[in-house]
Amino acid sequence: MSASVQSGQSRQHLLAAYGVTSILNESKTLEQIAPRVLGVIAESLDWDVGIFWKRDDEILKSEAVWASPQANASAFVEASRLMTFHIGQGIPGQVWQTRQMQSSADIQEDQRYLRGRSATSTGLRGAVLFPIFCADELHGVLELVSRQHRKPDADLLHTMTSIGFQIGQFLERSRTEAELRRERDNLRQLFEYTPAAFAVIRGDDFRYELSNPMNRNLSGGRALVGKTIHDALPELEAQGLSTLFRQVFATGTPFVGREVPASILQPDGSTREMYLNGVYHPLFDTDGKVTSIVSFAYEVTEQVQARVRAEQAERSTALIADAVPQIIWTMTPTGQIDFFNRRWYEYTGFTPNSSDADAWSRACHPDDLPSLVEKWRPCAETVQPFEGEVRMLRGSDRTYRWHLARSIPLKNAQGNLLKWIGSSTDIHDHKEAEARTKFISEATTLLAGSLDYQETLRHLTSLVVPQLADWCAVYWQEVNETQPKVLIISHADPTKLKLVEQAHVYPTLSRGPSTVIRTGVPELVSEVSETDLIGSVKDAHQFCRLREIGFSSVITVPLTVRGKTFGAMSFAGSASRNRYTEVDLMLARELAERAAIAVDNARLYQGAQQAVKVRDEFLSIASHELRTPLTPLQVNVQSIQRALRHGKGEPINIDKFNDMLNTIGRQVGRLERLVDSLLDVSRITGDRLVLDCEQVDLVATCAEVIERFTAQAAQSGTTFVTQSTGEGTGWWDRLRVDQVVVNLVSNALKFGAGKPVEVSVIGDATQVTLVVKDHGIGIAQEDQERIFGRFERAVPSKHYGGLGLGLWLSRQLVEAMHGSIAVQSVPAAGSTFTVTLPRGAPPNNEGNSRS
Amino acid sequence: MNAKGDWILVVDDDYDIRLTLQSVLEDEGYQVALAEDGAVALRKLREGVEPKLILLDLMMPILDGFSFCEQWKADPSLQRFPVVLVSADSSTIQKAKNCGASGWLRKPLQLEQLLDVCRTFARPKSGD
Repeated sequence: MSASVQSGQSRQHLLAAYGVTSILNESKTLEQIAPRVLGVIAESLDWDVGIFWKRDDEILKSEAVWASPQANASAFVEASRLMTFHIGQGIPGQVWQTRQMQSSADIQEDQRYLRGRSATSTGLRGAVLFPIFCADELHGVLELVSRQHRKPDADLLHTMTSIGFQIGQFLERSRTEAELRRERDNLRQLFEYTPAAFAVIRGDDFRYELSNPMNRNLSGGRALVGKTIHDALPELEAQGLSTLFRQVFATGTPFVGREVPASILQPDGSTREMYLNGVYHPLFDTDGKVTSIVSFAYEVTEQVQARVRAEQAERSTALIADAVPQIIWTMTPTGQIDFFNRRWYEYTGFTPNSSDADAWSRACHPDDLPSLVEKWRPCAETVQPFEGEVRMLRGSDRTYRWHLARSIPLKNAQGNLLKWIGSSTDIHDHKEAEARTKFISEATTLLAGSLDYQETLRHLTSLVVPQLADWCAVYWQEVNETQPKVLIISHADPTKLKLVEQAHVYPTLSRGPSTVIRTGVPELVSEVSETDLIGSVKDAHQFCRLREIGFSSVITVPLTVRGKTFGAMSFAGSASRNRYTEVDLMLARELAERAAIAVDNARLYQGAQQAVKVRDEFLSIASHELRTPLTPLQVNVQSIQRALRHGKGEPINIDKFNDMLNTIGRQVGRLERLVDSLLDVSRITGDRLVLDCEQVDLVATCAEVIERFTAQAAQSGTTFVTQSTGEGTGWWDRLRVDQVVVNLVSNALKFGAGKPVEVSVIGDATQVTLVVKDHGIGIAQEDQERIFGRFERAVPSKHYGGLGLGLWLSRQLVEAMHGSIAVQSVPAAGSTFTVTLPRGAPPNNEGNSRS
Repeated sequence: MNAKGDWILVVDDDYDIRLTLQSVLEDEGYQVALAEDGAVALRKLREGVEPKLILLDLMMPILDGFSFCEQWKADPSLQRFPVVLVSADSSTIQKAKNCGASGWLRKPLQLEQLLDVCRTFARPKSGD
């Protein structure tokens, strides 16, 4: 080849390189450059067809095909457009694989060339293929095809390597630019559409460089970019925003704010209060100097307000819970107590610091806890309201009191359990009152059930134990006894009852029942001390027994009716029972009152029955006594009548008639005396006895009475022995004194067994004493008081005559004259009746003294 | 007939009743023995008084009519002496009849009834 040719050839190569460079400078995309680059190269370097194979991941495919209009190579062009190559496949694949230029002198004959057929039909022969790569990465292959057999020379190789490198750089650059653009777009979108306020503030004057729509929105719709805070948001500057920015600038430390309050002016002139969470982050230049601040914030106003509302609601709920008199608590679904109101701590005495987790089980009575848990479990499982009664410890006095415990589940809108809300109300007093009313009603029914008071009291103690007491005793005070005796004793524990009976220990303290009976004042000892126990026993053995049986609290109440105390009841509680209080004392008193009335009623009833029996006996005796004189009276009268009827004309036996008439007279006298006695009973019981006092000589009275009884005494062979010492006179009712002497003398005759009767009168300075002594059947000790009672006598009534009124009447009459009557007697040895009468004085004649 | 009338034993604690009955029965021609209670009556029977009739009061001290009847029944030697009860109380008479008495008279006594009963068991002195 010639030099000019060479230089022409070089010029062509230069033209191609320049053409490509200018195309690459003018254009942006591969689509724009590929056909033009092919055209410039092929035309400049005299090739018929140019193909740009672009690598697309795993394959090479034609990006652009250029063919000279003279080539008439449409079949080949078409085939090339459709072809793709994997790495190592065909000559383009070999270029990819080797990264070296490949050429073929005759593609029609070259086995490697896969488009040989279309090349043949088109008449193409020589081909040369160059790699396009940049930074070791293959971007494509540039293929040039000619109708001549051409071999690549050094110039072509040089030019094409240079062009390939240029195109590779172009492609790399355009790819990087596209990526940058995409990133920018992404950032912009992120910046624009992020649901948070985003801004960049630059420089010392805090000028907004960026502000996304959300930031603009937060700023009351104001355009901020290019403006300083001072100009754009003066109200925030006033709220300390500039100070914050200055701090971040100065320290280079980000500021993280949570729920920062802000007031921002709105376009309509109003001010909006809001809360913001956000970060002011410094941005540094290469020297580490803060150049700007990135502001990132989002609004949490609704959350803050909701939380504030919830907190307020919770506070007011807690306040309400503290204000109510009930105990209120809440519990988590897992059963943890997470709230107790103030009342709980006041009531239990627990401190809020103490573990609330087991507070319930500590406050609950151990006996009630298992059943409570048992009852609670199904409610907890099925999430149903719970209600139950339980005893809880009151801290102030360490007593267990009945509570009504309730619990209701609080559920959310989805029906899920949020927590349990519980309350506990002290119903102890109410429950006690109810129990007391029931108890009193039961006791009253029981007390009304029997007229045998001992049985009644026994029933009562079985009601008292164990409801009211563990140990109970009833004491009875007999009229003549100094110490009350134990009538009934009962203990809840049979073993202890046995001990009680063996050791003779009682549920009372030393001052106990006798004091209560004497004074009628009940006694309450809430807390019995060891000293109290020592004081109420006789010896160490009793003390040991008493301590073994034990009682911690005791009440003793009097059994009083109509102002008279006849006994007492003691209630004692063991250590496990609550100590007795005034309330228990009231209950015990009420019980005792009812018991006393019941006992009194029973006794009155028995007394009335006895009185009826005595009266019936008296009536029987009275009718007998009244009828007895009628027999002699009637028989004598009928005898006289008979004699007069049968013995007409016969001489009348005057002596016999006199005897009969005397007997008749005596019977009338007896009847008169009986009637008088009955009248006396009526007078005395009706308080109508009138005494007619005059001077009476008791010695003379006795002599007259004995004279009257001479004939009767003779019947039983009784003799009288009389004796008198001193003056026997006094101011008395003559008839009444006579009556007393008659009673005593006739009794002595009646019961004297025919033995001598001694009648003595002894007078001293102030009184006169009458003693009537017999040696008859006598009177048993236990009957000696009773014989002075109305209708009473020492012997079975029907054996002896008389109304049985004599001694009663005598006592009433003697006492009416201010005297006394007494008896001393030994059965089978005789009786001595002693009547003592004060001499008295002449009655004042008030009528005379006035005149 | 009889030189002397039959014996009648009057048992009563009341002095006037004894006195009255003795008087009217002796007037009728009987021989009368008196006792103021059951014990005295038993003693007199055992001492040899053999009455054709015992007029027995029920309410007496020491030994009353019921107790007398028990002893009278228990002693076969006494049962040949018939007993007639004298009482105001008809119910006690019913009880006493169960223990073997031959009859009863109600107090207060009527003279004719008394004499009728006496004539049933005993003969007075004859010769009038």
